[in-house]
Amino acid sequence: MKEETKATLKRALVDERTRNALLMKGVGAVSAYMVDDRVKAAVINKTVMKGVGKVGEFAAKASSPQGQAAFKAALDKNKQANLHDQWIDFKYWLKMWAASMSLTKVESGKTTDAMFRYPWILDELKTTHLAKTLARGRTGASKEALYRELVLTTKAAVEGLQNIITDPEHTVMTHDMIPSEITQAMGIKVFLVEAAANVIGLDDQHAPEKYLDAMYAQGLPDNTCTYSTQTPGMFAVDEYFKKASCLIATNMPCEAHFEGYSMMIKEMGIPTYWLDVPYNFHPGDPGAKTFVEDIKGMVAFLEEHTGKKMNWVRLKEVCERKNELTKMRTQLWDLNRALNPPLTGDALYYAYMPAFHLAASTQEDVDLYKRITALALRNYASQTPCFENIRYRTVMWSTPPFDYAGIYGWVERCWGIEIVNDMEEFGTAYTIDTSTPDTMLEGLANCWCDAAMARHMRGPAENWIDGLNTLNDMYQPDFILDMNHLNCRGYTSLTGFLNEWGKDHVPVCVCDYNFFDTRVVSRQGMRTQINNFMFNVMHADPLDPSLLEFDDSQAW
Amino acid sequence: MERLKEMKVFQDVIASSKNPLVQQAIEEGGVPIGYNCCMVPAPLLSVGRLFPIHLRAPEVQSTELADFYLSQFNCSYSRCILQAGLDGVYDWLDGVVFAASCVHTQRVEHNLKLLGVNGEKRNYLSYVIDTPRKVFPAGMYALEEDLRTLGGALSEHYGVDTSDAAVAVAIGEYNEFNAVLKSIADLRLDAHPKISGTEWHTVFTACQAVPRDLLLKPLKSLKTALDKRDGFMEDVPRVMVMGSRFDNPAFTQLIEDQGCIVVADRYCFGSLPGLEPIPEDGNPYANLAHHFMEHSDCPRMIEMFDDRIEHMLDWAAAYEVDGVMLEVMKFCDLWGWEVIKLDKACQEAGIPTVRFEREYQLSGEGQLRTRVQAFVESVVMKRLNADLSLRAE
Repeated sequence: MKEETKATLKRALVDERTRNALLMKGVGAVSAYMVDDRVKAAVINKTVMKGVGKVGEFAAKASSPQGQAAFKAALDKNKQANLHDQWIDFKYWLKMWAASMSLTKVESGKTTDAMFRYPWILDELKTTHLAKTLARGRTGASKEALYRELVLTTKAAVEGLQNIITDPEHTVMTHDMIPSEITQAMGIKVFLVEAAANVIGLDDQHAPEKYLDAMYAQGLPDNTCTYSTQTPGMFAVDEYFKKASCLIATNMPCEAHFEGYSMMIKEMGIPTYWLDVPYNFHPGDPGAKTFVEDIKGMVAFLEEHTGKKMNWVRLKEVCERKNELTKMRTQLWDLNRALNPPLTGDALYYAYMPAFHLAASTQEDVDLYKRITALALRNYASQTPCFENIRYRTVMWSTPPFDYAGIYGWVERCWGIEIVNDMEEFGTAYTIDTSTPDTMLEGLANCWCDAAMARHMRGPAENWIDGLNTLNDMYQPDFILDMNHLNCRGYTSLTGFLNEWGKDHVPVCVCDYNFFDTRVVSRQGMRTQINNFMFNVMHADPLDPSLLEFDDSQAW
Repeated sequence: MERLKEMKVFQDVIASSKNPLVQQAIEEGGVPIGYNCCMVPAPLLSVGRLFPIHLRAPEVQSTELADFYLSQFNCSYSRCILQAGLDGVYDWLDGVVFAASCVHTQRVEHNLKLLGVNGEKRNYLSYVIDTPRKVFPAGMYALEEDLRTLGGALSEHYGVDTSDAAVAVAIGEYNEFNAVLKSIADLRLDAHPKISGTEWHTVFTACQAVPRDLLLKPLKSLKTALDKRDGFMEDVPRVMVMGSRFDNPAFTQLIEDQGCIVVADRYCFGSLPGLEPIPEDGNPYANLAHHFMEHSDCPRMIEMFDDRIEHMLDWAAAYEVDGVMLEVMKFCDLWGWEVIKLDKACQEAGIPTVRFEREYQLSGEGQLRTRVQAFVESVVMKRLNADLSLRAE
């Protein structure tokens, strides 16, 4: 870069007029990039610059015997001493980047423009960092499983982005809790509306704040569920896609969520179909039949607005894949009942995300599940636990905190707690009858009504209680880890019952948090609640006291 | 306006849940059934000896137990009702029927059941109606089936006749009562309303807190008295109140004390909508299903966002309101989102608005008074400026 250009860019960082002048001239990517405050902050952040300088120092030190010893110690601490793990780390580091960067593979001009128009896309590039964070301290099956799952999730997210960026006229926006088997069978391009919120929240605890605040500034009460608030916030600051062929929305998760959707729909003004998940939906309930009719309505709507026809042969293939996935999924649940649970925590949870949630029942999902099941079976056969220092088994009740994705790894390494299953993962186990179109739709209706949120958060309390009792019976946990998302009305309104339940069953560790906002409960705040429970109720000693308290308030 | 002695009976019945008229009905063999939502078809709970009681909690002052079983992040209405149940305020009820209208109130029913409130009563019925969130044929059919199941349960528990014929009779009586109520409600459309917002709020709340047949006579007397009364002559702003559940007339009193008159009540358990006649021909269960779904302006209905805005603007025009007050009960997600859209629509239509958060029980009066006072002043100023501009032209 020429010195003159460098100087101009440097000036643009601090001088708005220069920056605007550059933009007017269409200097392009570099200057536009710098308009984003977070990028600017990163560029001028002295700590970052200092860190770059330290790389050189580190390289020099690493060549000395002391340096090499320190390097090995660091690796040992992260349980990465064996070559296989290091190879997995490196291999999937590359794969993660490849998956993330594949965004620009198609019509790179459009995607680059989109990155500047919607700066949260840049946050999605932090997924490699997320993968490394989650894999830290892991070894063997769990490490490989986690990486594979995140690569697949990233690919699904990137594919959705490519669809909406390059071909919005032929892309359907959908809620992430609608029967995506239908859109697959119809060969429709989709973009999951919540994908952005989900991914950036996981990638960077502070990334959602701007969008949450935008909604609060419009008068939305700040106690509204942050999962429901974040995406409308992106609309509020005009940083979200507004063009698509149509939209499929649902009341599946909660009231705050569909109300937020109504706002976005008004902004977009595109044709919308609303799926209405009933209150009573178990097979035999009138509501179950209603939902089948509702799915038929959705199919007709999609046919009308996309010009694509339902392909029942393809739907049969998709449903059979879903059945195969369900079989493997329930096998994994069963394997974790063993004394040495072979694949647990986030390694289990992040498999569910793509396979049953984001791009449900694709061939890639089946391949993923086959591989992780093989890994789990290998561990099971050799009685190797997912984590070698298991002291306590727990079931995570409620949803995991997306603003602290690393909590699974932390409870393992700090306290030796293994999360053998969780509320969201412990979803549907229906087998779909693929003999006729009607039976397939009925099966899909059962599966999606029985998914997390519809089943636990807003249906009859019996669903919630039965789920908890079943998990307790299945796994005989030492305690229940109650991740109490403070703004989830459906969940918190059974908190008292859960406490009473704990008296008759096993202790309950209540850990308050907010799904996407660590300003409400910080990560250390969550850790402190768990620490207090472990000290005072379980009378436990930490595996690694250095992890009891540390400052990660500014970390991604 | 002069005070009417005919109002006393209505004021008395809203002071407590188990008011004198409820006691009288129980002594005469009536069976009280509590319900939580405007989407519960009250005529179905009025067949034979049954009478519906809208669950309110005027007695509850604090909600410690309910805060524990629900959480502090649930709306104060649901916490007050649960607290009332746990305190034994509703131990005279013979059953409750809830609509699956919002998660807060659903969970009240769940907790009441889990905690065994009134569970010792032999024939106690606790039922949740699976109300769809959109009006579509399959949903309507399922709702009709669900209402028939409820009818069967009522018949089984209380030995009442819930046949089509009996339900049709109940619908007829419901319409008759509502026609009288509507004749009073429509007085607010006048340029000089003969009934204040507080009075109307009191009357309408009372009509849901007692067996209606015991109120028909007092209601007719009130109508006669109102007809003879002079209208409200002061030139003060006319306002519409919109938002979450609002069944405490003390709030309306506080608003009107600041120098305005509430002429339109578009809130949960208000009369807009709520007084339209139910069709009496044909299948009564289907009529109930359609009526209570199609005449709901609750934000829970997922396909009616634009309709609700349209209705609001229509009512604002019909009642000639000078401003709209948007009230949201704290932690009510439905209205928390809804008012943002309504506010925007009002601004686009040039209607002044004020938004405020409140609790179920009257509290924070000082703050509320200040907000309302400032709003009323701004509306008055707007009118004055408009008058001056007109004169200047």
